[in-house]
Amino acid sequence: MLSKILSAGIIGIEPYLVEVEVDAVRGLPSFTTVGLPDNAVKESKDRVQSALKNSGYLLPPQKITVNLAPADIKKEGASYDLPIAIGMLVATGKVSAGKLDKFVILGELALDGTLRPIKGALVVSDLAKKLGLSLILPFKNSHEAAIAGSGFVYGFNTLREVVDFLEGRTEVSPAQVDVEKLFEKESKWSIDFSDVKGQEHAKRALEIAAAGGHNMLMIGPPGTGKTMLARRLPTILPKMTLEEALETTRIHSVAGVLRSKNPIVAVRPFRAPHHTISDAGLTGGGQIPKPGEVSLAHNGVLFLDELPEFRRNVLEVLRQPLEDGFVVLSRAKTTITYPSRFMLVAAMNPCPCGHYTDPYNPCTCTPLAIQRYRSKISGPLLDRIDIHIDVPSLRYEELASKKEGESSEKIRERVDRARKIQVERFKNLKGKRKIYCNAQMETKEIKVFCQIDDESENLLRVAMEKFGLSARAYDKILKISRTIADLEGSPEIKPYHIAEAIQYRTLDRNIDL
Amino acid sequence: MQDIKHLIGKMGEETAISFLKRKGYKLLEKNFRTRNGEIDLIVYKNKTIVFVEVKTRKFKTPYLPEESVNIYKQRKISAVAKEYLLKKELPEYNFLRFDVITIRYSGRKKEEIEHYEGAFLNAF
Repeated sequence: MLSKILSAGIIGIEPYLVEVEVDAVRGLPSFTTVGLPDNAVKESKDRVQSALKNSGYLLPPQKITVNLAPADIKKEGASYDLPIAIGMLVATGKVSAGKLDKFVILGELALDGTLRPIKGALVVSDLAKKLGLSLILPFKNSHEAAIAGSGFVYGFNTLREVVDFLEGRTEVSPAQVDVEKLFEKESKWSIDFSDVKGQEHAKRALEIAAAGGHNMLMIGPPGTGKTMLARRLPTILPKMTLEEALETTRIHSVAGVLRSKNPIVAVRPFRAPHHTISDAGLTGGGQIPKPGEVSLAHNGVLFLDELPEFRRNVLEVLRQPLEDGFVVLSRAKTTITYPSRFMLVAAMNPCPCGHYTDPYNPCTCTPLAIQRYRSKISGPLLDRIDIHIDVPSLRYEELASKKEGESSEKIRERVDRARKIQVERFKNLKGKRKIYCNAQMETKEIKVFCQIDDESENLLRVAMEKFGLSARAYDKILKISRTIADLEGSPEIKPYHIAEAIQYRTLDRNIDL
Repeated sequence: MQDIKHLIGKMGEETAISFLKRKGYKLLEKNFRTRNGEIDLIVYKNKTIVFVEVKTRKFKTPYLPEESVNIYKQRKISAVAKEYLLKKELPEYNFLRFDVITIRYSGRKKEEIEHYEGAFLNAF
């Protein structure tokens, strides 16, 4: 007999419907899977047979053929175990096919018949909702899937439970999640800017970066709090909207990094990959394409500590996501797009020994070594980082001081205000490209929105000559001063805004030795 | 030496036949041989044709008899089974099955019989 079960697969973060057809006929007993299964799918044969046996279903020996349609897309992962098992039960007449066409079924089976969680439950749930179908999946995924909507997601712990439900022997109520409440509950921080002692200069720079969405590079000796500062950047960024949270949650769902208890990413993600990461690890990819760190950091912060230690090719692949806000992975079979709108925060030492700018420890590096160290970061990448700041070592008095820093909440209020001004400013902009914050301005927009008076012009000229600033720095300084002015609520850019902005271009200055 | 092995094998097959008959199987074929290989027993019960591989060992050997029915042996049996199905006028059947019966002798008239129903699937 032939049975048809609906299931789903995922390309990138786009779900598609998969029909699992199981045919059981008399003949030499065998089990074949067709429809471009990968190894995990092929192996499901053994898992399914064990799980069926250990759940108490004895199937007669038959020639069983499993087809996963559409047959031209590669199927991967273990989530077809459950549909195949149900399909076998239907095909051999153990379960009636009654209302099966109303369900999308997914789940990995353990040998004892219990269901293991799968990846991408939320995305599949979106699809089921769109098609007006119900969804059957492992209980551990049911909360995640219910974020897409309530009333059609059913979670189960074992194969037996699923069969009993399909046969109408048990009543199961659909999983319910109050998304707003969950979002509210989860959007709390355990860290705060007031934890950081001193480093007022760096804190100010972070505030500006957050306000304008500028990418940022921190340069300083080891142990001065670069990482600590970066970790707290998401706490002063504008709060995530529910829509943004769902976007990020979808990516995390596909990557399988969501927690089953609180399956929503309600605070801006902070991703800090180690510098040994590969380019595929950063942008996503691999034989079975998976979202990379840039996509996991979508709507949040990507922190690259020890920037010059990253392999060159890894840093260069950052260019497209930084520019476009998405990653396109082209493969022979498919092209996959992962969203990746993130703020880049990088940290590095000023020289190989780490003490070049340190007033208390002498630097032992030769000028050549420093030059070589810094040249590991390419110009095009540096072009995309607006703010560079020095994070100097702290003195004892600053560390031991009882003075509490400003709280994240207070800073965030200012950031929010500045962002509002920006959204207002770019609202009526014509053209295809949408701009939401100052960092996204290009030369054309800078000319329009960053007008400066003669006094400022003069200051900027002097600074450029004195510090040997490059042409690249000119635009960046204007952009940063625009954000500083926005933070203050000032419609024009004033000379002291320019003066502050000039400080944030450390790397454009000549190395003086 | 060859003779002893052969003898033990024959003995095992006889034991298996009486064992299966006690269980209600009907013997269709014994030592069905083609140029691809041989199936020890082909029996029939409940509209199911069963191809049986009989493995006999003396108790002393350290290896389990079931271990020797590996994928190559399975393929051979599958191939012969297909030939059998093509060649014979078949009784009305619904299912086909591959079984393995292992017999271990531990002295005169003392044996341990193990019957693996559906031991493997059609292999190719």
